[in-house]
Amino acid sequence: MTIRENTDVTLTMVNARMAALEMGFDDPSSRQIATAVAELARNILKYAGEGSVIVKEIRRGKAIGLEVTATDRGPGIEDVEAAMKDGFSSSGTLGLGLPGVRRMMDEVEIDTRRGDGTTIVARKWC
Amino acid sequence: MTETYRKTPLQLSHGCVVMSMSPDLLGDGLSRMRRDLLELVASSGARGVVLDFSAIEVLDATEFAEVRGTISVVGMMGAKCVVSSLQPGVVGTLVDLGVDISDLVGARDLDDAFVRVGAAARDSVNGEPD
Repeated sequence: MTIRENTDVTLTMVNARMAALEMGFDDPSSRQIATAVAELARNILKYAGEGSVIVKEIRRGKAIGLEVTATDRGPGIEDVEAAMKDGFSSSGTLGLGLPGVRRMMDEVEIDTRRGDGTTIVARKWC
Repeated sequence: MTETYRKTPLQLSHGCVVMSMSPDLLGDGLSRMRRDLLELVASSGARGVVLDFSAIEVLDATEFAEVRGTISVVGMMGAKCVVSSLQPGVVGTLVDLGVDISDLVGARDLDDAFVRVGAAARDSVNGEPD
């Protein structure tokens, strides 16, 4: 799903919640996934202007999970460690929402290079 | 001229303006919705505004910041703002997001919200010096 405007964020968020419920996640977990997806998509809009968010089902052994991949070609995150702390923001009053994403998902991996974009992969197991 | 946007979902009830929050909160209509809300608060002389969240299933931090902004401007108009009918799952993710919800007035449902707006209006009158 390409993220270019606010309505793309809303649509991606709603689709993620539906996908999570269909996979068997309970209601609170599906909302956590949808909120995390929204945070990642919002970051793309705010910092890169454009990017993509892909939601898919994954398996590891017997475990079933949902994987979110958010990719952009924006400026990259300067200080990932700082970005994972509550209250950190490099644009205005709101943070990147990454600490929240980490609380709502089971695994978060960040691959970023200054000037060459960011890919964030977040997983939650059913 | 044809109305290209749907109307802002605003109603007057019990002396309060009730605004139904829609899932596309940050869509292009938000600033118009806020303007319509403030105009109705001013023209009706309403002492309270109830933001009805019953249709909201997911709320992210950016949207929440917009809600806070709306609550602030309602306060500037001299009206009290109550957040009504937030679903438990939404409240849970607000905690996960780490956003500050400490000074918000919440209500279980619309009936509860009207009571709380009334109470808030009375408190504000009682709190003022004679």
